[in-house]
Formats: sequence, structure tokens, C-alpha cells
Amino acid sequence: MTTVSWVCSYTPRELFRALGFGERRLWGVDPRGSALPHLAANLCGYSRACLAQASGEERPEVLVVAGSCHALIHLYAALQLEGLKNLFFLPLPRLGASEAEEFFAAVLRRLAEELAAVRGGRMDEERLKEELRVGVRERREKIRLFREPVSGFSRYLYLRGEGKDLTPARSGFPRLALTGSPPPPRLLQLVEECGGCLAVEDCCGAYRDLYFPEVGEAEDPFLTLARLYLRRPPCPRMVGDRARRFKYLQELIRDFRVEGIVYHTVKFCDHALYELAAVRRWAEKEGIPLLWVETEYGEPGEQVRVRLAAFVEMLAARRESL
Amino acid sequence: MNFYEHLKARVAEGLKRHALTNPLTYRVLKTLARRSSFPLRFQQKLTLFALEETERAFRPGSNPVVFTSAFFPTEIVRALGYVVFSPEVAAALASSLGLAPSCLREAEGAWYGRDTCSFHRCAAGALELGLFPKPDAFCASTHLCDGAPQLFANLARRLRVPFFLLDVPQEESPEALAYVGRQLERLYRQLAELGGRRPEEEALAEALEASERFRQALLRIESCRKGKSFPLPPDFFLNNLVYLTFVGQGSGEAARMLELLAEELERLPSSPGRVRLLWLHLKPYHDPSLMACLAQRGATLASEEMTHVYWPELDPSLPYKSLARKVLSHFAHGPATRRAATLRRLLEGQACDGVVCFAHWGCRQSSGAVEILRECFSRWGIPFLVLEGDCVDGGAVGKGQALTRLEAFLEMLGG
Repeated sequence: MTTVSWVCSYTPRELFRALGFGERRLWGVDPRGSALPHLAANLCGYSRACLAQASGEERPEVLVVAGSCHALIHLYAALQLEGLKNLFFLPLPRLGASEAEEFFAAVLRRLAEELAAVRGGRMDEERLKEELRVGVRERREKIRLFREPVSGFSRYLYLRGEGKDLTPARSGFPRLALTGSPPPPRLLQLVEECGGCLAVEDCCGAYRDLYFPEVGEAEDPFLTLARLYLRRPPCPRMVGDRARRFKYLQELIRDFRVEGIVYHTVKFCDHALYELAAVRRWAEKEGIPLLWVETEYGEPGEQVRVRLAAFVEMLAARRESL
Repeated sequence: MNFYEHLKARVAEGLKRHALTNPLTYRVLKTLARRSSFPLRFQQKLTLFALEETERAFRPGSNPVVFTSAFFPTEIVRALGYVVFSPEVAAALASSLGLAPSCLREAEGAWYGRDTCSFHRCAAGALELGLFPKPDAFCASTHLCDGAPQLFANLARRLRVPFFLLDVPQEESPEALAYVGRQLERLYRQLAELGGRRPEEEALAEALEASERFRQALLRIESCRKGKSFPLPPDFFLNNLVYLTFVGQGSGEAARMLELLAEELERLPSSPGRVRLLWLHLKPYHDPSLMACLAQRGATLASEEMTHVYWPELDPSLPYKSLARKVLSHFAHGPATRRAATLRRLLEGQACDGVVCFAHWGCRQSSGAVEILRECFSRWGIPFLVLEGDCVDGGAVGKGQALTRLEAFLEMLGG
């Protein structure tokens, strides 16, 4: 079965499944040691890791690059220069208005036609409707994991398809929300090693990617798909939906009894770097402690460990004093 | 002492915040500008225009002041008679006046990290320090910058004023045209409501007419510069045209100024034998040494990507569609390979000898593409130099290395 690879969680996977493709997200490989042409030094580690993966031994059969940010737009151009076959670009709206949904639906319809041509087939809209229902069921099932006392690290690996075992969470430790840029799994492990309990991971491949709203089925399944993805919890890049993003963060804090936020930025990730200033101001107003940690989308440094440990310790002391 | 040096000297002497934000200051400066000498009448007109705009922005009870990001179609703001204020242009001015370090410090205190664009950090800090006028709304477009919409959204939320986003998808397709057009129509209506105005179609058509005259005048200027150099500073066009292209489109006065510049250039004698460069992105505003080096070596910026005409003719009877087409046709929109192809055409059209890309550290869109551009130009055998630096933050990079590399490049080109 041909597999479509993709790089941003706003990419609707139902489309690929409905066309009979397999699908997988590229999480990237450590770019160190690879020649890594085309991308400038001031672009984020995720785009570099994806370039290393897509231009290396794991060359995708089909790749859909979403225009989520300028780093990914440059990744697309870099892969064009690499001569990658079956490379597609997906323009992504940055607001949730009805005109954005209609535009995105049209784009998805076109992408479906282009992808269908790769296999010489055509899109069956009934099958897409069915895949939409399957997607809803799958997400509903997976999101239950966030109500069970399991370790956030093991949950994250499990959801990414990189681990099968869910280990129990340690109880009684400060409850944390992790948000911001896509984190390297090692960061989650480090949070737990430092005594934090990951109550919720608001990031790609985790809660934000599962907490989809109920949308009624439109006559046009592409419109349903567009609505579903644009009405999901907004990530930092959805700058036109900032009010909804804060409302969602507020709900997370309340529903998961969060005591502190770990805001992670991948170095040079503009969306997260700018949003951080607003989230930090909001958290201060709400009285929620926030720690900013930065990685290069690889192994977090020793300094990150020290800061995480101090943060967790501070939260524990704060809990006792309340 | 010319007008600009006079202003810089006053700031260095400690021209205080209340003076910088007082409309009276700009009235005094306008008198001074009227009495100062400028190499071209265009420059005097431009200075008076900028001072008038700034005075309007600080004048209490004036028209709504709308902060716009670079490349936002200002025609829809101009049509309503509002004041257009570009925080990015103002950040460049703050940097050239030596005000950037305190603004950058202030922004860093508000958690805008050093890896974000210094134009934005400086603007955020200047706003916190009360150096900018009070905005009534923020307008940003998404096509060329991830940072500006984010910053504007943050500032609008903090100051409790509206934030209007123009979402520009990374493709030029009929669907994208319709999507951007619909947003522009909605934004024009919402902006009109902001100031209690009616969204008059006639006023918008007038703004588009002015914008088309602006475009035609820019084309005339481009044509004057084709194969010809002028006895003007190497960065004359970069300095003067960027401001107008960022804030002046849709203004009849801005169009008239460019027409005047075209007339003056047509009369100016050419100065032969200079190395002609195509300049990418902007320049360090805190440090004149790169431009001084160009002047000393007899090199000039024969063309700049930021000031060239890339968009098609505007049709005032179809304002939203025209503006949508303009926004979507931006040469740097989409994959960097598209930008490279446009730059090659520009280089050939303007008879340039080589390309200098000033890679502003915090700009993911422009400097993030340098490796792709380098590769394209290398394939085409076109001399290409990357100068890493920062347009606003003088403390971010050492200037010596950039200067040495520029000198070597000019030497190679025969300058």
C-alpha cells in the first residue's frame, strides 16, 4: 500500500485513507551528521529534522507539506530542489471564519484529485464520509487516555505510534500542562523524571490533535472535513483565532486541574516564540505559574533539566502553602 | 547639517518621550524641513508627508490610527481617511536614531525572545515605552511574515483594540483570489465601523486609482533606473521608496510624490561606471558603514526587491478582486524558488552585476530562504553574496565581517 507522509496536524488524514493510501506523520530524524542542504541556520529544528528524514533513507513515496509556517514553506522548496517525487503543497488558512472553511474545502478537493491521480484512481465521496466517521470514533477512543492515570511520556509515544506500553502515572505530583511547539519525546520524559505529572499535552500528536468538535455532516464531505480541522483547538499558528485559543487553554487548566504550564518552543519557531509573550501575560493574570523551555527539537540540555526540577519544586512548595 | 542629522542630534541630546509624542514637535520639524535643503524636491515632499502623517497619528481626536504590517494593502485604510502607521518602519527609524537598545530591552522584559525579529521587538518595546501613537486597530496580513500577525494579535489583545487579520494562502489560484477578496470586503466594512463611517465604494475606488498611479510612477522610476545610475547615495531608493510602498499606497499625495520623483530622475544626469547591485531585504538602520562602503567603491543599488513593481494593474471598479490579486502576486509569496525566479528577471531587467542579500537574523521568510536562493543563483552563474546581520539590533552581530565580505564581493565585481 502506498503511504502518504505529512508534516502538520492540520493535514486531514481521512482524505488519504479514503483514497486507499496508508498515512504517517513525519516526526523527523536527528539532522546532525547529515549534509542537510537548502535550509538556513535560523530555521526550526523540526523542519530540518523532516528534511533529513525525507531526503535520507526514509524518502516518502508521497509527501504533503502544509504551509503552516515559513519554515515548512522553505522545507517544501528544499524538497523540490531535492527532486522529491509526488510532493504536494497544502495551503492552510490561519483563521476559523466561514470563508476560510470554504477555501480549505476547495483546496482539499483539489488535493484529493491530485493524489488520486498518483494511483490512477478517483475519490469516492461516500468512502470519505465513512472515513470521517471512523476518524471521529478513533479520536473519541484515544482521547480517553487523558482521563486515565497514565504517564504523559508513555501516552505521547503511544499516540505517535512509537510505543505500545502505557505506564502508570505517579500520583501526588504537581500537575502540568505542556504546550507550545511540537516537543521532542525526551522533553516529556524529562518533565516526569523531574517529578512533574503531565496532566495534558497540548501539542501536535496529543490532546490538541484529538479534541475535535462535533460538526454536523455537510452535503459536501470536503466542507465537513475543512470545518472539522479548522474548528479543532487552535494551535499557536492560528493567529486569527487567538480568542478561541485562550478559551481553550482556560478549559484545559480547569478540566485537568493544572497547577503549572510548561511552554516549550523549538528554537526559531516564530509562532510559539511570539505566542509565548501573550500566554505568559495571560498565565500571570490567571495566577498560573509558567516555565518557558526551549529545545532544538532534539535532546534537551542539562539546563532544561535543572529549570524543570526547580519549577516542579516551586509548584510543590506552592501547593503546600495553599 | 541636513534635516535628518539635525533630528538625530536632537534625539542624542535627549529629546524626551513627551517631545517625541507631541504633535507640536512635528509641526516645528515641518517648518525646519521646509527651510532645509534636500538634493531633490521629492525628498522634501516625502519628509513633510512623513511628518504630517506622524503629527496626525499623535494628534488627539484625530482619525483612527491603524497599525499596519508591511505588505498589508493599505488602500482599504486610506480609503477611510484613517492614519496609517507602520510600526516596522517606525522601528527602523528608532534604530537609526539610536533609540532601539532601550526598546529592545523593554520587549525582552515582556518575553519577546532574541530569536524573534528585531523590527517587531523594537516596535513592541517602543509601544510599551509610549514612543508610538496609541493604536485604534491593528491590521496584518499573513503572506510574508509569521511574526507580524502574531505580534499584532498580542498587542491588540493587551491594548483591547481590534485586530484584523488578512489571511493570504500560499498559492495563486481562483479559490485563493475569492478567499482573499471576501476577506478584504469584510475588513473594509469592519474598519469603517471602527470609525463610525460608511464603507463607501467610491472612496475605495479613489484609493485604488491613487494606488494605480503610484504603481505607474514606480514603473517609470524603474525604467529610469534601467542601465543608468544617478549622483545619489547608493541606498537612496531603498531609504525613500520602502517607506512609501509600506504606507503610501492608496494615498493621492504619495502617488504625486512618486510622479515628482520620476520627473526629477528623468532630468538628472547619469553617473557612469558604477557596480550595479540588486539588493535583497533591507539594510542595517543602526549602522551606515555598509552603505558608506558602497558609496566609497562607486557601487550603487540599481534595484531592490522590496521596491520593485510585481503586481498587475489595479482596476478601481473591482477593488477587492484587484487588491486580492495584488496581495497574491507578491513575488516572495510561496516557495522560495518562485522568489528566486523573479529576482533573476529583475536582475536581468535592471542590468545588475550581482546580488547582495542582507540576511536579517530574525526573518524566517527572507533570510530563512538564503540557502535556496544561493543554490539557484549559483546554478545560473550569478554572483550572490549573503551578508548576515540585523536591521535594527546593532548589538546582535559584529559589523566588521560583513564589511570585509562586501568589500571582497565588490572587488570581484570590479568595483
